Amino acid sequence: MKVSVSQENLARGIAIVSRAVATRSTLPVLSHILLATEGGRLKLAATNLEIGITHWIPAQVKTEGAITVPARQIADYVNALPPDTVEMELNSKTQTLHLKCARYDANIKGVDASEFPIIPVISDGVNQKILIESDALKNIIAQTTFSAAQDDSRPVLTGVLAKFDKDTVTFASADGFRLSVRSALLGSKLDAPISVIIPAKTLTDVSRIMGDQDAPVEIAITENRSQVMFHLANTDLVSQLIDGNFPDFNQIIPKTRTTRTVMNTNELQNAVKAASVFARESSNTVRLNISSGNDMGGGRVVITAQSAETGDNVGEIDATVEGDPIEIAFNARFLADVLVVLNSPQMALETLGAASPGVIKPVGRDDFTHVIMPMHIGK
Amino acid sequence: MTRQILHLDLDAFYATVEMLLNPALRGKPLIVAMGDVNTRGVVATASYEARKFGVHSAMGLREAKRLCPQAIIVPARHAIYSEHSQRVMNLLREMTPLVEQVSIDEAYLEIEAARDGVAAAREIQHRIHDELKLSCTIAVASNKLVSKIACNTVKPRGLLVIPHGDEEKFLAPLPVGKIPGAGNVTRAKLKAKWNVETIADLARVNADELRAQFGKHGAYLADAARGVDDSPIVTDRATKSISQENTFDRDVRTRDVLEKFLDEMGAGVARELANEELKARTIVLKLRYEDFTTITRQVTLRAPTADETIIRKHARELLRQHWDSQRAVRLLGVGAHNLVERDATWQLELAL
Repeated sequence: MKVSVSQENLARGIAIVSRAVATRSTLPVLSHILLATEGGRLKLAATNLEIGITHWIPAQVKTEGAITVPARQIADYVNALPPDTVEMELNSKTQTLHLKCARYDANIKGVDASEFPIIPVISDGVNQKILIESDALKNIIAQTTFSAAQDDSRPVLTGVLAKFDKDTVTFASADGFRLSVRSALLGSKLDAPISVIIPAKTLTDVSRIMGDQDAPVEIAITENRSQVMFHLANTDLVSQLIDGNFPDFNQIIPKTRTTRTVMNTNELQNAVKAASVFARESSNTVRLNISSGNDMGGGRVVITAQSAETGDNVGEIDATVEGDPIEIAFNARFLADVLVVLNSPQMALETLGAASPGVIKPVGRDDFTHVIMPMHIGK
Repeated sequence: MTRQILHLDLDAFYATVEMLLNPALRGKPLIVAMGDVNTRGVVATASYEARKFGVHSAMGLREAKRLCPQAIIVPARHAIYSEHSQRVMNLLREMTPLVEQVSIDEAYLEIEAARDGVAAAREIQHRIHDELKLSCTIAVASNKLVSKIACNTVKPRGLLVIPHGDEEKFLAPLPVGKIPGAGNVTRAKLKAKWNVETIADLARVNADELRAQFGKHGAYLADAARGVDDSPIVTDRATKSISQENTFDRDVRTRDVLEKFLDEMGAGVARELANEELKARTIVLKLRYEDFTTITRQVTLRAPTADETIIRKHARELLRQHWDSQRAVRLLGVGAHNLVERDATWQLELAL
């Protein structure tokens, strides 16, 4: 193999595929990155057997070939190189990759490319191809992955349920305390509905790799529903899907409410941020005291937090309140998590009682619903 | 100053409580079983009448029935045993505040120097018999280790006093396996290297050599062989954690048996939490293997619980993840740590 590429492209490509490099594996080659010439480009690939990422960069290919090299080593080295052309040549006898860039020369000992696992390419065995605008995908990922479970006591909850039906996709995630449901339009129409559970980490990776890509993203799911592929500009990401049944989230979303409180999202966000300084010592509890004012408006929400050790805080914001006054407490972090991705200047909090789930929605859109369990307040 | 440590062990506790509630069972070979009483259950406790036939705890019921076909088998009723255990512990705390409950049927007490420890032991035995209609064995010694070993030699209904200065002499003829922590592997090594059979044999081995062979555990063995132990009585008045543990008569290799004990102890921990009006955020599994290596593994919940099914579920899950099933288990324990007041603030859960 003899190939030259730009240092910038190589560094960026390595950073992208490094997301899939195994950090702890019994199979040493999984801590490597595959470099291979392919169709006049240089292919970079890595996999931890959960996900596999393949990225192609422009290259001048003089001789075809392939090698795997330790990911950490090549990433650190290439990042240290000046922005110039990197010439790479493989000594196939010693499996050593020679890199030359400006006045730097290095030899990196590699492992034969044939030892690298084959990263599945979803072309055969694909059920249906799904097209979605990149902005829409980024949004629905941001509005759902944060509420997926971190601990894997229930593996399905570490994933995001993705339901594709006709021209609509719905993502849902829940971690036992909160639930996010977000829907969006697809760029293509499906013949048959399909539901899969995608690891939240996979979606976070997809979103990060997409960066500011404009081109629509192609999603494909294998017929046996074991893998999903995201086809991005110059990058393919294949991930295992989570096997199991996602709980029926519709039955968790309250169908009634006794109070609807409309607030300015930023104002609430600031008030929660201020309160959380004092909430840290008290299980992160912030109390929202919602009162309705009169017919002319004048509703308000008083946000408080207190700690026996550090002190207390009271903040107040205006609100439009329909229904009964209520005091309800939430985990400040859970509130902050949803407010930051809400993407809407006005938001509504719908409540049913201090011990019943609260519902947070953007005002003027009905594509996002967040359900959040309150804190139980002791005596 | 010489300490007066009492080790108290309730005799065939579950079986005795059952006999207390149903006098018709008295004097009969009785097996209190965990799990399915008919087939797949295991022996939780056997009455002394059943033990004569070789029945012991953690034995499969099938095996127990084969050894003692006439045995009466009743299902374990943990809530009731826990209540009786509580009464015993309350009675002990009337005698001295220095009570360390080790399990549902076992405790250490320390009697201050001004009082007569032996008289206190007699009084406890009488009161437990008269007021609670239970029987127990007590050994009095200058430390926990010797009182524990001594207690096991005089069950049931025994009272044994090892005067200070006689510790080593008392231990000398006993098989080395009587030392808590001298499991199969340790014993095999001791036998192979120094031909150790009795505690006296162990006392003859150079302490430095033991340390070289077993590390910290070797230092413990050297002390134990001479009847030396200075561990304190750990009272738990502030209730920082609640736990139950069980040392098996025979090391256990069967998942099924371990799970049944876990379930039982999980239920016991849940009841204690409820009694103390507490909830736990962390569930702990303790495993001691036959070679005395001990591991504790824990899981932290995001909502505190006193719910029996949740505690059991997590305890089983910890066992599934961390038990090396190639290795026999000598001691199993379930604990609840990170306790909060039942009425404290906590995060409610979605009904998923």
